[in-house]
Amino acid sequence: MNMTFGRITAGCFVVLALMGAVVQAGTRDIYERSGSSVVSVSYFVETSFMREVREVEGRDLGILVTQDRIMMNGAVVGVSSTGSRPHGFRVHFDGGAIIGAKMIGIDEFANIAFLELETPAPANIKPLSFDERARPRVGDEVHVLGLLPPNLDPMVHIGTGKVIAAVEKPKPFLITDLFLDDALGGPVFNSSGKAIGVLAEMGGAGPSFASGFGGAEAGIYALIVSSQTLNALIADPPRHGESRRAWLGITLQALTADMAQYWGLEERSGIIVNSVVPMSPAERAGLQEGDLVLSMNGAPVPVNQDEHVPIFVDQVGSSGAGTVIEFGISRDGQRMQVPITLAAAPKSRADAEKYRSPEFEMTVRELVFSDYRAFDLDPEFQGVLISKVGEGGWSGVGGLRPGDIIRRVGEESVETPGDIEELLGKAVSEQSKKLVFFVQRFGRTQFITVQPNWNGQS
Amino acid sequence: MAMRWCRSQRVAFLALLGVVLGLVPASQAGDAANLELQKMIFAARDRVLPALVNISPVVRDFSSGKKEKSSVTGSGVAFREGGYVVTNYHVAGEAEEIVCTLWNKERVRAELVGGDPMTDIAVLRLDFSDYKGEKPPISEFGDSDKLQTGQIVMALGSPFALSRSLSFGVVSTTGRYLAETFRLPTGERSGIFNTWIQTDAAINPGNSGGPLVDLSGQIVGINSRAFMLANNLGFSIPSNVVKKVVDEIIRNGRVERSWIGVAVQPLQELEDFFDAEQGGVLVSNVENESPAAMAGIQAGDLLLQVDDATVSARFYEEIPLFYDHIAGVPVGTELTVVFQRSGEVRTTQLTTVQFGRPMGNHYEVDRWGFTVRGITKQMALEHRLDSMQGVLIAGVQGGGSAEVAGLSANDVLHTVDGREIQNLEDFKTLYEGLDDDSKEPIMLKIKRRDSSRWVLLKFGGQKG
Repeated sequence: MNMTFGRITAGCFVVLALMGAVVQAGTRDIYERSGSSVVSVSYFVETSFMREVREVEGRDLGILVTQDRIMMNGAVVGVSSTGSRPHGFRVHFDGGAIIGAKMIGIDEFANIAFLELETPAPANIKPLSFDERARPRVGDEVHVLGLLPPNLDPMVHIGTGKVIAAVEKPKPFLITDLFLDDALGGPVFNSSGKAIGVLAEMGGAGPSFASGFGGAEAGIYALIVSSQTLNALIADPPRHGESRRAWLGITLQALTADMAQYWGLEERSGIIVNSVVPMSPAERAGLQEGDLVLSMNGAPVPVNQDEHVPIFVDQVGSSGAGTVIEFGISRDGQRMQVPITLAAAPKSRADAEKYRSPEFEMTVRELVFSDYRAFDLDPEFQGVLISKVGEGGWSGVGGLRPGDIIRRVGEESVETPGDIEELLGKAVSEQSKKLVFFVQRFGRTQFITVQPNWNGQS
Repeated sequence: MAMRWCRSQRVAFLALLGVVLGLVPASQAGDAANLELQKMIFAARDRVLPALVNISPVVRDFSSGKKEKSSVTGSGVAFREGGYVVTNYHVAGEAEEIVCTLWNKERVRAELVGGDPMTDIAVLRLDFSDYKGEKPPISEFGDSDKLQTGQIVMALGSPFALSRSLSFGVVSTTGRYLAETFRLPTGERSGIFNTWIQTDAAINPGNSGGPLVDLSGQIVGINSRAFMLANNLGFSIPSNVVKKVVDEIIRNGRVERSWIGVAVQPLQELEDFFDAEQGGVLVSNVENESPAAMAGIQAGDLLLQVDDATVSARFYEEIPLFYDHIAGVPVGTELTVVFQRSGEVRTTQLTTVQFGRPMGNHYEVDRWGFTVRGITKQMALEHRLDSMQGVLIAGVQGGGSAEVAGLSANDVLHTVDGREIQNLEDFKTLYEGLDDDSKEPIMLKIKRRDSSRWVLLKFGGQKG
């Protein structure tokens, strides 16, 4: 007994000593070899402060993944609280080179964004490649490259931590105790120096993922987005305006084990259809409010708590428009199979068509699907939503407010931002003294008078 | 610090008043005017103070998911023989028990006669059966339409429960329009049917329901609101509104109003756009399936005449008059409405329906850990509900089985174990018919926004 124990201890000692040597070399190595592919990305973004909309400068970490593409965390460059996207991207490289860039899109599932450089990155800076063969395990040491404050040069630092958990549900993810601050979106390396993923917030992996996990909410723990996911995106980056998310057209909640028991089902998981969106694939296929969805293509739906609803949403969402899924449902105790052809997800708010009138200090955008839900509008309702109003501008003084839906200007009905552009453009060229807007606010209509002052215009 | 500043300002103000009133420029003249004013204040005080009542009702609150009682303080004034006292609805309109303290510091119980949340008026009746002392005199209402900006007024009441307090000031403006955003602590929007007297006589919490009196000692308003953190911006319900409402409360226990389903806005800058040469009342919104909608009235129509009365609202301040005019006709009256659309004058008929109670009764669902409220037409309109079916969740107890299961305030409860709930009475019957001790789970179907949701209530077995 003692003998065996002693031998194992001795063996472990040798292994540890070897590993120690590798790790030491790896950290310096990672920093020296890959540090320059970490870049600082500055941009302008709108934020609203006490109802006032301001433009502020942001700076976040990016990774050079090809000679002309930068990868970033989607949360930092996503749609701002005012509903607009950041712009004016400038990429700062080690050695002082600065190159302008344009955002090309954000992947909704992994929450990863891509920028395209206006000119290729300096030749001496090598894009980082992610290794798919390395499979980190719980307890493995990992390193992350992060960004130092802008006044420091060089700008990259390295941190070390461990993989502390490998989660299977609702999605397979590695969790680490790597320090997230200044390293959000930073590349994560294993002890042999291979890039195995990027660091992301726990909440960034999908709705309500890891909610109730104290360390996650406090920002103590972070996720590692895997190389497999990243390489697929680098090879075929997402583009704005073309959502890859497939759409069913229902709102839903989890079918808990208790509920399943209450309804006398054999299954112990699934989803409950809360509502069916008019004209959606679900409605066309005859899905109804109260239906219990118990299987998808013959496999059980593994959702038994609301926190796991994203499993179902992502499974459907990532199936691709045009895919036919056979749902096994229970309706009033009757079992049936319902095949549904998924459609492309409706346009999102960020992709809505917009128009800004500088004279009237007002921005409007088209109504998209989610607005019809949020404002409880009939499908045939027409109008244009005010997304922004300068408080001291003519529109603001007249009483127009963000969130108002314009239905008419004067006698003319309004259906698109182009209609507003035309009507306000006409008002500008004719120097109209008064415009009467017919708007809907909190579900009720009213008339609002806007009185431009052409003399006072600077 | 702030107190002292107010005081010295008041002294300065009195001195200034003396100078203004005085016709001869001498300090004695100022003194004489001050003395005269002081006499008038004393005389007015003596007419009202004995009728002043400190009101301590026990009020109920259901917002935490259970019925909670608390004791509050307000003010009131006796205005009619028989022990009738007027106060605010938000003081005593939903009180369970009411104890009043009279001017002579004696206490008597009172019962609620009725209330009107839309004007924030309630009427109590003092119970003198066990009271041996001197009964309070009654105070008279004055004519609030004759009030002028700058007129001297006094507010009497119990600010911060300091009973028998008098504060002094002027009418800052008459006919103040307070938009519909004011909400009583009981949840109702109040004040769309009247304008307000604004005064700088100090009005603090506890003054609510107390009288605003002029120098003749007549009640010209009932003090109801003040802007907190402002300097002396207090608001009183004009006595002419109060007189009408208290009469109806004493007759019927409540105020019945007619409703046609239109919202209106001031014409002002829109006059030329709508060719409103003869004035009119501009319709801004028409509720679906309301009498106005069924009569074909649309947003943008200009109402010119309702039966024989010509109607017009050019400014915000005139809007309550129109609403009150409609509300004032008996429910079920057929009205002939003359209106203008695109320059053309048209006539239509509509029949008014009940405005109804702004909000429904509360009910404590104690075993399930939440409270509900009956849904009235006005609530359905406000919450944009498709119908009045079901009961509204008023509050959910923190940590209770309903909260754990995901129920929230403002959800609308539609079914219990598959049985449909039409209204509060329905729900009460169903709930009270259930076995108190049953540990069987209960399935609720609710509506949240436009989605349904199922909520399974589980009750503590050994597993907790």
